[in-house]
Amino acid sequence: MKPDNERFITYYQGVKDKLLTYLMVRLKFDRELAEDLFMDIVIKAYENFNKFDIDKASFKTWIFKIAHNHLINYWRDSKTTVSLEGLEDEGVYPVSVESDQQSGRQSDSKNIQRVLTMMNKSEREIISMRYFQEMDYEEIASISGKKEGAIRTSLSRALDRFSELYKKLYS
Amino acid sequence: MYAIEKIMKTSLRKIKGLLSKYKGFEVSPELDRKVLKAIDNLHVEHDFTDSVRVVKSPSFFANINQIFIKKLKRYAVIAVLILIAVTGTMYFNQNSYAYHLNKAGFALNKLDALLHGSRNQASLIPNAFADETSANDTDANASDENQIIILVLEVDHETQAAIESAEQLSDINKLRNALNAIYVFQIREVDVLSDAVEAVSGQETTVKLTNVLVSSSDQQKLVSKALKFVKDSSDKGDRQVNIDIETDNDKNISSDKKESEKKVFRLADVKNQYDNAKETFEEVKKLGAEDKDIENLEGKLDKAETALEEGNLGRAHGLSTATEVKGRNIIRKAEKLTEKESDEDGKDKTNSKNYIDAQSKSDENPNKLSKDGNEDIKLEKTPVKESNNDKKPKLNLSGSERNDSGKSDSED
Repeated sequence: MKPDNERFITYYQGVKDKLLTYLMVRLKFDRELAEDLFMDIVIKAYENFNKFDIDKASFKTWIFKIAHNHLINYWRDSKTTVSLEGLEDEGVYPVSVESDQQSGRQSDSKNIQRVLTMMNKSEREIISMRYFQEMDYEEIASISGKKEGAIRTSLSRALDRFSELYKKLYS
Repeated sequence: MYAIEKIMKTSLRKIKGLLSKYKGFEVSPELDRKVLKAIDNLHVEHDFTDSVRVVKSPSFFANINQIFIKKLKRYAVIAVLILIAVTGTMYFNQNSYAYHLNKAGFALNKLDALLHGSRNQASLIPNAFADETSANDTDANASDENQIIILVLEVDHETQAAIESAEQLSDINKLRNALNAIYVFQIREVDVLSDAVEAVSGQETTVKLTNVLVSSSDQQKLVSKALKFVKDSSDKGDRQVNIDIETDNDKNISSDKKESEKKVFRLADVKNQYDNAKETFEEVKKLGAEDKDIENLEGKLDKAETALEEGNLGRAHGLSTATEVKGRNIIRKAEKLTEKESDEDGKDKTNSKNYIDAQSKSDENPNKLSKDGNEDIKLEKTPVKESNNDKKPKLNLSGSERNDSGKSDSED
């Protein structure tokens, strides 16, 4: 294995689960799609690994930025296909969540996932980054290309929305 | 109000706590393997712009092939560079005097083998004795004569090309070496051509060869003068000179040729040539030349006399010319030898009385050596002032001005 590969894989091992979680949240827990995009993003990161500068950002921030952009491109290219986002707005949820619900094994995680799928993608993204990837406001701002203040406001709103939906479903 | 806020804050804290406890997802070992395999099958390539390209790693055989192709490319580049270098050198060499002199030497060796070598040696020459077993003597002789003419013309052509190439040189040392090499070659060339004239019997062939022989002898004189000029310039401290020796390529020889061909059939001219040859032979004898040289000249002279008596004017003229040219060649060689010895010993040339006598005698009648029995060597030295702007001394040498009376206009 070449030194470049080794270094990349070390970094990759440190962020792989968080990256997959991020993708799962953003893709409404569609594992198949998330894994496909996960592969694409990791290879893309590897191809551009020479551009990675540890002095500018952590590897996590760097690869999440790639993931963020990749998802934007993915959605843009999938405009002609049926929009899950649109279906979601009409109250249609991914099959996997429904199945879990029907099985009656509703853990906290499943509840969170269900609530998240009811939220819009920017809300999901910001909650995922802040709580699941444990990023600070600066990192989130860097990845999403927004100001820190705007991130704080967005996060606050997203939490309110999450809380509201959670209470609706599980109180 | 406070109670509502407290409830809300508690609720939010609870939500945050809930979210923070969220375990998330783990990459399955299968996906992990897929990713690692994908990365392992990729490798980073640095191209010459130092940018990085990620490409799929080839399989073992593909890898071997790639290495082979890479090496092949490298060797191909090296091969192309070598080819360019060799072609360039060849092109350069083809325009060098050494290249032409080499070719002339090869042809002269073949001619020498044909004239003096055994039948087996001569059979190396294509066509010369190809039909050895079946051809009759007449055919064989005709074939030999044709081969001799071809070789003589080749020698003549290449020698002239060598002279022209040498003229392009301006560096005095290189020019001196070139002229020296040409001069040394010409001494042997004239010897072999003289024998070639003797070897052929056909009148037309004899005339052709005699013309070439005379032309070669003329040029030898010019080269000798050029060499002296270069040596003098070098002694004066010049580093660059220009010379211009007139070759057959430079001049219109058709009129000369016609004239000389006419003279071959004029009894008076042939007799005159024979007398000149006889005189030269006497000079050579006085020089104390080697016995084999004297015998060779004597043989030619006897044959010339016989041809004259038989009325074979063409052959008589050719043999007389050959005798004279060869005789003067011997004298020249002796002169060079004396000069060399004088240079080496730092002695005065008075030690070489015989040779100087020979020289002075030969200079008394400088016109007697020519294609047509009349020879004039014109030598002009262009003064430095009038030469090219590069201030190089320049020497123009030509041997073209001949007149029917056989008198020279000038020499030196």
